[in-house]
Formats: sequence, structure tokens, C-alpha cells
Amino acid sequence: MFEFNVAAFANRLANLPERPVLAKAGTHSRYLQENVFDELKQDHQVDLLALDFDAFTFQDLTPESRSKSLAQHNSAWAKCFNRFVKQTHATPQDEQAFF
Amino acid sequence: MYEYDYEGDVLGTLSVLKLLKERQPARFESIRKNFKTLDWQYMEELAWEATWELFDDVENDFVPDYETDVWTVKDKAIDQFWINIQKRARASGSYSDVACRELVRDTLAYFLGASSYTIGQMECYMHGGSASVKMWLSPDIYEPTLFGADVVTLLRYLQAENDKSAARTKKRKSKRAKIIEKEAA
Repeated sequence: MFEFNVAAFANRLANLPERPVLAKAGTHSRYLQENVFDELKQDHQVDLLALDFDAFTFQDLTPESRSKSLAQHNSAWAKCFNRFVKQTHATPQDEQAFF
Repeated sequence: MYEYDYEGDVLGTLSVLKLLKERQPARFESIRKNFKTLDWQYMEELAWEATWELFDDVENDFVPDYETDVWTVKDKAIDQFWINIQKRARASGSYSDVACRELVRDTLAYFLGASSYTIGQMECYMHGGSASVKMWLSPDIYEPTLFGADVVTLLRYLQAENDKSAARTKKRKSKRAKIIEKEAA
């Protein structure tokens, strides 16, 4: 029977790799403000052929709500996973277990 | 951020187009010439069409029983991710084909359902080193800009993971080569 090693567990926790950020907080692009949004506010069309797609980054294209909604999505998946894990044995078994 | 009520839709569409320019430049030019402008009348159609062009290979079918479309996509980023998952599992000594398939499926489901209910059901089919993803669309939900943003996040995540895997492999090979060189000397 395996014993739960608190020290090993705590050490593992302390050395966890940094959690990857799926969507960094958005940044404001002056180029997008002037060439896209200010035009749209005045009911003008934005010329796709003239728009320079290298003048802004993906971070400039991340709305403020996106990182929050991804964090909520992440939390929902973690809760779902926890629900499955609760149904499994705490110690290793000799048979396969399916959720 | 840009003081515009529907900036989420505009930013989603632009992110799809930006990634399309990186991944499929010829298709990007074709879409740009086709639509010419970014305006509200055609924005959803633009986002929808551009999103599916992001994948290397796309097939579309209509399922009369469910009154919905089924899209099957293949992409080298998904193939490489599947190959890398298998390699890592084998290297760890605990390889399970089912577990690897479920991991790929869960990763895709995680991203494709992040902010949109566009996908009603999804299945992944793996054969050798390639994977295809079949998506049944929700019959009464159409959120092209949100779905497009989710696809962009997915593909960028897969590319980043594949790049990390390639860097790890390169580092290991370089280390091994140095050891062999040292032993030979």
C-alpha cells in the first residue's frame, strides 16, 4: 500500500511550472483605433485591402472580456474534472477505471 | 477598449483574418479581394468563411435528420499535436492509445467551446499520424465571430505547443550528440 508523502506533495506543489496564459490581457492599438473603430463609429466602411495586418498584434485584438471568459471557462472545466476525480479510488488499483 | 459597442465582433473577425494571413496567405488574399471592406452587413459572413479557411483541409456536408451542417477539418497543427502527445506518453512509459486520443479530443473541445455554442457535437478520428475533426453545428446557434476567435486561440495554442515540443526534441538531440562526442574523444 502506498503512503501519502506530504513532503513530496508539498515539494511538487511548490515547483509546479507556471500556468500558461491562454489569452493575455488585451492592449490598445492606436492603429486599430484610428483606422478601424473611428471609421466604424462614423458608419464608414473599413477598406480591407488598405488595412495593414502587420500593424497590430493578436494582443491588440483581444477584447477585455476574453481573458475573463477564458478564466471562467477554465474554472468550469476544472470543476468538471474534480467531479470525475472524486469518483475514483484514492489509491492505485490493479484494474482500469473509467469515468 | 476601443470604445465601440460591438468591438468583440470586430476584433474576432480581424483576429481570424490576421491568422489567415499567417497560415494561408493565398486564401487570405482571395477573401480580402472577395469582401473588400469590413462592414456590418457582411461581417458575420466574412468571419464564418475566413474561419473555415484557416484549416488545411475542410469538408462540409448537410445532415437532413438534424437539419444542420457537419464540418470535417484536417490540419497539420492538429496532426503534429497528436503525434507529440503519443511521443510524450511513450517516453513517460505509460502509453495508452485511448488516453492519448481523449487528451487530443478534450484539448480541441476545450478551445472550440470556450466562448461559443456553435459546435453541438464533436468527434476526433485518428489514423496513424493524422487526425480529422468532425463537428456537428448547433442547429439554432450562429456565432461566427466568437467561434472564429475560439478557433484562432486553438490554432495558436497548438502551434505554441508543437514549437515547444520541437525545441525540447532539439535540445535532447543536441545533448545526446555532445555526450557521444565526449565519449568518442
